[in-house]
Amino acid sequence: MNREPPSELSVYGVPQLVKRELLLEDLRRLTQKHVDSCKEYKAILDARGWGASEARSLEDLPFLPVGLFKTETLKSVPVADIVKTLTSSGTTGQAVSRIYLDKETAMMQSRALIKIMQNFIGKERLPMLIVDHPGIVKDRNSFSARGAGILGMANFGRDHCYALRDEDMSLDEGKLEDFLRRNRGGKVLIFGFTFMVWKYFVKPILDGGMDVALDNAVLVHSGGWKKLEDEAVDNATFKRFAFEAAGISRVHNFYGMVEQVGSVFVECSEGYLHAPIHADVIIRSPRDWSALNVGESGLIQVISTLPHSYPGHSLLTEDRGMVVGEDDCRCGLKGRYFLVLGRLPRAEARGCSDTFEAKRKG
Amino acid sequence: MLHAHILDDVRVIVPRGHGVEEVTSQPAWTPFRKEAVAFVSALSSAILRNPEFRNFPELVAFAHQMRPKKLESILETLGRQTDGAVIRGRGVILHFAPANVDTIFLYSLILSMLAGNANIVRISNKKSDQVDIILNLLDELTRQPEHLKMGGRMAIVRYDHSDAITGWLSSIADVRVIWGGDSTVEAIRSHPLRPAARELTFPDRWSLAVFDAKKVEEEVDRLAYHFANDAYWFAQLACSSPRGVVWLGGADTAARVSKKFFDRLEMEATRHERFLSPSDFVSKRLFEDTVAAHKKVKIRMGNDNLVSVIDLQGDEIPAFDVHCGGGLFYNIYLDSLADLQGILSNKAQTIVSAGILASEWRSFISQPGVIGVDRIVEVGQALTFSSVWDGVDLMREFTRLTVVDLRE
Repeated sequence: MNREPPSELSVYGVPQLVKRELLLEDLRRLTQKHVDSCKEYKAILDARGWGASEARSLEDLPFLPVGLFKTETLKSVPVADIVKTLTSSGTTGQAVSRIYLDKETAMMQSRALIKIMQNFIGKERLPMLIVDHPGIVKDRNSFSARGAGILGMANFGRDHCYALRDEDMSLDEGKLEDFLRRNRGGKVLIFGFTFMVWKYFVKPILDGGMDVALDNAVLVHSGGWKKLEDEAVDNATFKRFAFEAAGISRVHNFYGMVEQVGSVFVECSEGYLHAPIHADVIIRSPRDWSALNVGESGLIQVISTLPHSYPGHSLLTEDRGMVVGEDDCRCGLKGRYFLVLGRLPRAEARGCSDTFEAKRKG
Repeated sequence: MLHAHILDDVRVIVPRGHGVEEVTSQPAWTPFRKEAVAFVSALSSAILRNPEFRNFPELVAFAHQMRPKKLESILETLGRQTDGAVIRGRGVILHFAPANVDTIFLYSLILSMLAGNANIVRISNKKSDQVDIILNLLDELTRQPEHLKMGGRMAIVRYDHSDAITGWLSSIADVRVIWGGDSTVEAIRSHPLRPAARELTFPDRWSLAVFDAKKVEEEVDRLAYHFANDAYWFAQLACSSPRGVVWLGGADTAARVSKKFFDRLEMEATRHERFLSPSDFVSKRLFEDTVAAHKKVKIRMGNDNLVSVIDLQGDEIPAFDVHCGGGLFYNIYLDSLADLQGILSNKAQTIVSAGILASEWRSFISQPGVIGVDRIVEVGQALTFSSVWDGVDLMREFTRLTVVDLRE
């Protein structure tokens, strides 16, 4: 099994053709492992008449819809081995995904994240500004997906400063000024969820005409564009305003999901998301699930060799995307690079069963 | 007055700008008064004339059923059943329409209008092209001089969920009609009606198809054509949309015919692709895997995602009441009609039937222990609305009888 973290090979240095072979071998083994240890996974593959030997290419591997983790308990290890349960952030009232990690998978997850992030922020731990309120990580028993994400990223920095106030998410200017004074001109790391960074950091600084100089900062953000789309803010706009507000020129969005450990796709200097050595994306046609070519948009399937404790190594997401190319991104990183084109719009509710769609409000 | 404030948040869509209160003061009429018939006929011919409606086959079907000829037959049936009693409307009927099976609110409203009632219809806030064009048409009609009177007897309204409004409307209704799922019925039921008021509820139901494999083998193409209409209108999410196909006869024949049928359905389904969206395909995939995780099934691999078939293995019985729609069918083999009893429930509504005689169905349904099933219809007729729905004769429910028992 793929016990070793992906340290021998460089995370972004392997050409796609070689990478595909490596991934295929690992993923075939992983598929068999999960068939042997997760009875629901086996039942699903049996129902589809799938045999482990059939996968001649990555595109042949079976995949589960990511939503399955909201309704089913899927794990491939005994309960006693579970050291960590991840839950997805869901809108209130919606079911959340539950992802079960054993020690090995949890360890591989953090090692992979380190390898990936070092490519973009360097090996040194930087003073870190977190665009959120300190309360988000206070209650360790029940913190949200956002809190978990912040704690995960916090490992990459030191002297953490939470920039927002607990009460109302407003920017704590005093704390920010202290942070700026302490690190005047030095390299710093800023992390936050995309929407939080926009609404509670970039915008207030611009609107308030504050003098914030973070020319040497690396801004890493994630969490999706849905709320920003509503305000007609795209990635280019986001970056332009981050620069105008605080002189931040190095901005890296990343795409990932709680359901697939190891799938962290970080935006390069050219604005494309890159697949690391242990993960990849396949774009599928929603009409027949066929794998699409470079330049065609469809549903994103994510694959990763890291999920050992639960059958989440090959998942069909509800996000639309497009592979832009392989091995030839101008940023120099090898492998596939792609764009996320937003969430699949939900079908309108139809049928006889929902007169009171507004009940949620009442 | 308290209710004056309550009603501030009610938006009257048809006739736009009217009040709700004026409807509540309208007297009941005898059925089929000429004003009502003229209004319904005008609506029917406007739909049939306007090319905009051709994209909405269910509205065209509605319009066909509401032509003057068809109305006459409804009236005749009503007269025959009432044996000389004087028939009148019941007064003010309050309809709660389901979110997106648009034609249901139309049928409910129009039949009640013909029965002689004043009507208040609460429709969902969800916008759709289909609803918009029908609402605009109704609004236009109510503004024409010859239909002003009818306009004063109806209000199609929208409001955000409000116990106060639902409560007030319920308190003035003579009949309350609830189309919608179990939870909707439950929520609205918490608001009391007047002691003499009545209620009709149309809660969650499901439907399926039953075919005799041998007898339909030669006509699977025709069958698939009509079945596609049954299954794909409303993206298979109406109560009457068949969620599975039961094949009677030996498993070998049945398996062969089933394959032919679903292969052909793949082709027919392309005519209805506009009812489906990529998220339906994702929902189906998720649904299939959820079923497979718990039941012994085989998921058929089609050429594309329009038709999804789940073959139940052994004695597995599907949970018909949970469904994703979008063209997903359980495929079940039974030896004979008698075995159908095991998979029916009181939520079973429509059975589309082929190759089985009416007399066989009559004797099957009469067996003690057979529960559910409100209608058994030809393939292609699943969504054809009838004034008897879920076993309830709507015209009868929308009217009252006065018996005049005197020697002449």
